[in-house]
Amino acid sequence: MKNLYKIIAVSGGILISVMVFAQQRFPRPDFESGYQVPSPTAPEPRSASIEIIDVILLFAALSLVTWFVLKKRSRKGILYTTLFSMIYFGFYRNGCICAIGAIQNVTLALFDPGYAISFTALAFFVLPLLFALFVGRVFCGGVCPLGAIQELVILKPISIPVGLQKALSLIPYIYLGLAVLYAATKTDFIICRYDPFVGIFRMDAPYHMLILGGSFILLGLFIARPYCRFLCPYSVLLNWMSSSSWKHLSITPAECIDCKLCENSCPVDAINKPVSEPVSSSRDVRRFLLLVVLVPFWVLIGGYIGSKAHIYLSRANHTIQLAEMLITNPEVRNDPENLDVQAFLTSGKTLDELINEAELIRENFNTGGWWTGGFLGLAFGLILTGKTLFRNRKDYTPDKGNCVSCGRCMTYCPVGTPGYEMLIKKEIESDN
Amino acid sequence: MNPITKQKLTLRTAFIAGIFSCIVCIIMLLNYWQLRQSDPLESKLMENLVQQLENDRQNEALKEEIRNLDLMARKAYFTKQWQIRAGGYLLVGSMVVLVFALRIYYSTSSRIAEPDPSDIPLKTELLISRRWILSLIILLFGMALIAAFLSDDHLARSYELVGREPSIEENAVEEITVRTRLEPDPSADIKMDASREVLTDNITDETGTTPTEDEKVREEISESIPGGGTNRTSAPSAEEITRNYPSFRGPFGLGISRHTNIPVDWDGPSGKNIVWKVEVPMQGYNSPVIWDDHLYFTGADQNIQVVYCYNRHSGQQIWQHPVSDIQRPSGNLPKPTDDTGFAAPTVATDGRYIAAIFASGDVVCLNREGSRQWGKNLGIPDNHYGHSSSLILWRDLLLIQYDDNSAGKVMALDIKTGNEKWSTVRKSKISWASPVLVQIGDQFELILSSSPQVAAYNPVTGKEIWAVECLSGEVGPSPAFSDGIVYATNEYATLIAIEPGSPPEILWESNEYLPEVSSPVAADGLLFIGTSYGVIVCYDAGNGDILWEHECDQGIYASPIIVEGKVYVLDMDGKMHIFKKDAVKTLLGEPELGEATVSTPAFADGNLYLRGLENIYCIGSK
Amino acid sequence: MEKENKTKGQKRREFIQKSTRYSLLIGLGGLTGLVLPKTRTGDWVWQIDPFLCTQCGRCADECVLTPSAVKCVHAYDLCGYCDLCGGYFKPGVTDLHTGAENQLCPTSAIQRSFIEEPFFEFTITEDLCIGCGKCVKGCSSFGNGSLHLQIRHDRCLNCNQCSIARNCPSDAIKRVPAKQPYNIKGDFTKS
Repeated sequence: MKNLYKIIAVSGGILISVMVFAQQRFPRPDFESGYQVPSPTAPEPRSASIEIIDVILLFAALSLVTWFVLKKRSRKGILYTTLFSMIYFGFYRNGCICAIGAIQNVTLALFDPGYAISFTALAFFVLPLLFALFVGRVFCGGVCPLGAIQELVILKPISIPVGLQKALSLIPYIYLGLAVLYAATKTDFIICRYDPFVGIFRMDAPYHMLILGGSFILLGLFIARPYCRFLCPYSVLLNWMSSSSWKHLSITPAECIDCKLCENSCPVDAINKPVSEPVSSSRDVRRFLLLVVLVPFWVLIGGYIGSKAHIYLSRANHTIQLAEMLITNPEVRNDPENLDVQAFLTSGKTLDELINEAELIRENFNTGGWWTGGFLGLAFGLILTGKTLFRNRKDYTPDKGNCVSCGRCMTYCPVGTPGYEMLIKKEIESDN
Repeated sequence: MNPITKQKLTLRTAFIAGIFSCIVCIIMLLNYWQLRQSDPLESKLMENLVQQLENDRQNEALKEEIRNLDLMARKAYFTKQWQIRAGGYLLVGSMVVLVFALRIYYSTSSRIAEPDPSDIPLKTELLISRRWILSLIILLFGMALIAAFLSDDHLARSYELVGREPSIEENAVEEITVRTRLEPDPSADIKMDASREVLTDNITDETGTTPTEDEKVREEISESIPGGGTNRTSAPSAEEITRNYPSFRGPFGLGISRHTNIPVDWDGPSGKNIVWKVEVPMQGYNSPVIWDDHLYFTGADQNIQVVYCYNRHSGQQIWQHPVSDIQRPSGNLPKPTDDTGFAAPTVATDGRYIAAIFASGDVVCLNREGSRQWGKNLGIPDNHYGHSSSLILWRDLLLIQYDDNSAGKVMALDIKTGNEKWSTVRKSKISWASPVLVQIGDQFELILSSSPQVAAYNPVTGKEIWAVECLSGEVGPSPAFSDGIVYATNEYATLIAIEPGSPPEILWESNEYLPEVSSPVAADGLLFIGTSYGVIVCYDAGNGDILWEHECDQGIYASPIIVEGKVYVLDMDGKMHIFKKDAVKTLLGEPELGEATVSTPAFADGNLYLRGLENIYCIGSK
Repeated sequence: MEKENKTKGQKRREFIQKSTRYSLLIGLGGLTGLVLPKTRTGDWVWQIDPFLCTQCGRCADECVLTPSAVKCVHAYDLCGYCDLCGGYFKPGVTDLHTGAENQLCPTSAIQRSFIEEPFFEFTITEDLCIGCGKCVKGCSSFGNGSLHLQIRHDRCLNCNQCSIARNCPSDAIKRVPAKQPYNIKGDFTKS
């Protein structure tokens, strides 16, 4: 890859230097009438200093939501922050750059020596994760524009059967693995390309993406936050961070009185109910140990399958597509309509060079396939293992990993409300 | 507000907003579908009308129609843009209203949720979760495995499919076997070739089958020739090539002829020293070529392509061979401009075969008797003036420069079968120059001139040896070569002297007088060019200094040729300017043909041959 | 209520949680540290290299915006001001007037105005230009190549991954620093 850029840079340099001198078929005229040759305009892009405002606002919004979740416990506050985030990060900034896409930028920065990540992108990647590590997924609850647009269209959230839910929640891992693989091999930014909501924020997108976005919104009316729960690759990272968060949203401000009022309040089914069953039996422990031992096998199987599939996965890469097309269908060279082939033929690069490049990229995909497959194997193995043991729980608590800190459950809890306080007082009085 | 009124209000608002959204959505989808059917900016109707107008330039009504159609198309395009944009805003606006209204509606009618009566025990939940997760994992991994096994690694098979690498040895092997079957060739350059053959000698032993195949081929050839004449079947030596005039600008395309007794005085209108004059049977700007007694050239128009063979002594036509039945790929035939025509490239011959190429991309190989050996089409050239690069035939390889607007290519075909021996894609734009074959040390290099580079290729393998980026524009002149230095030029670009090597070195550059079509020629430290505005210039080939200039009344398209210590430069009026090949300008004569000419002359001992636009002349003492 | 007397189990759990939290923090910090040396303040923007561009026409179709953020830019100091402009006229026109049948530009975005004999000035109305590249192709084949396509940054949204860049057959669109966002040909870029 480095060589490719070098070749392009050098040949571009030669071409430019030759062409600047020798391009003129028709020499520049000498005007006698005093005509002044105008200059082309060059409108400036968005100033770099304004970028820092985005980072500041991100930090501010995260802090605000944290305050609303932990201190003020105000669902309304979170809602209004969400609305602001959708308008600013979504419609005003066109939903780009977002923290989810920043995963790819960070990956590219790690794997492409020629790419320097912008500070904004790094900040967008790190800040939500940092907050999640300490106070939970406040990013999802009030700052992420994609989450915001889904949050605001929730009407009547229905509960999905638990098995389906758990199975679908594996998809973000696959999305994350593939996104990192494709970003690292410089093939594509698939998160950006298949983002369903960016078309709505930009008010412009290819029609199939707009239809996809519309479908997600319609789906989101009844199944809350479908992208967040079943697709978002960033949610994997946030999940990890948030699972060991220091402080987290709690449904009750004090203790849980087990009134069950909050049971069906969570639109994303992230509330863990109290468990009254006895502790895990020895069978459960054995199952757990078995699954733990199997984890390395999952990693190996995953890695093996990933590397086997590398040829198929690599076909998304443009260089490989071109090389394969020229090898299997050489008559395509004569097709004047095929722009990619024609551009390649005039580029001066030989088929040999192209094939060598493609083989290099294939090798990268092979290694990447092992890593991605191994990562998926590890993740799936651990998830499976996690679904064996359990702990007794007396309270209704949000699942630290899955809770998006939207705060709906807080409004359902009676503890701390004036009406409840009055009830308690009356009880104490009647006792006395 | 009364909650019930609030409910009713919000519900009604939601309803209206919903209906509105649906309508806007449907309209936009229809709009999109319509746009997909016919993009207003690319209508076939418009194209057809413009085509019609080309044939019928004065039709004012047609022009009006086109202009109106164009205006409507543009209006339609921008209106559609505006409509889509407005529709988008309306849709988003109404969706916002819809969702907002619905939220308020649902919040007013919300109740406390009832707890689930049927509580699934946690263990069961866990069990269900595990089952589903496991199924999904298996499904995913299964799909990945299927995808993995169904995909072939085409890259690894690239060796078989496009024949990378092994082809080099193949070429060398075939070459050897041809040579070793010969009676020893008396000419000197066998020793020159022997050094190369020694290197690849060991491969011959491994391919036991090839010699017998070669024998069969030879037998076939000898059968097809009725007998008589020089019945050679092996490629001529370099020395033999220089004794003839077998391609554009003479042997190897270098512009230097070894012939003697070339006349310096003749007159077309009066017939002085004109041995014979025959009418050109079919238009073509290609130059005549000579081997022994045969004079070859071609002519073509958009329907017919013909290769001609004339007796060079008598001017009698010996045979003509129409080329019309070669299968072509689909696509529009090129429309060459009038000053290029359909038969611009000059034929190449080696005494056994005559190879010709036309603007249609048809290549044909005939034998001395005019029978077709093979014919093929190389792909219709995307060439806005018309394909012009001439051919070179060397040691059983037909070397073709095939640069068009889509790609720059140089290739070699086996002269006996027409099969491609090698084809190299070049980093070049379209070019109208012809290749030259030079010998540097004991290696032959095929030098091609185009924009942006002058490049040298190994004629046996096709691999690029060196390249220098120095030219630009539309390159017409072919390179010149003398004393190990390559000279390349193009109008508005430069005249450059390059010393080949790795890396090649640029010795000097000049841009005072640059030819547009005519190719330069160099020998003995002197370089001659003829420009399109009629100036003949002699440069010092060592440093680029201008030694002398001569102005003519007419521009020069034909390439100057050096023969017998003289330089023959033909201008477009048919006047030949003959100078001594010397650093001092010595004009030896300016005989006139009396006819317009653009083709480069051909030489033989005692004669020179000129192709005018109407007639072909043989000039010599009668 | 029982929070004061934590069981051994709870203490263990808390310890595990704490250590996980700190390892994740270190991990995140490590990742940031790896990436920080490669950070630049100031953003990247996308721009076309006019010397690699093959004028395929995809710029007009692939941009997420409609009309495309790619517009044709005229480097006046490279222009020959020719009467027969290769970028304005369709190839093969004999009668040099501004009728629709002669123009290459499908939206009539190029204006031809007379300066002095025999020079004509060609200007581009950006609002009409759709970035199809037909004039650029004509200008680079038959002219000086002064017309070329550029991404205009008052319109470009600077997507994380440019859709046109992804589809460019000659890889002509690359990230350039936002401080030098244009690759305009000619002396203009030197000033």
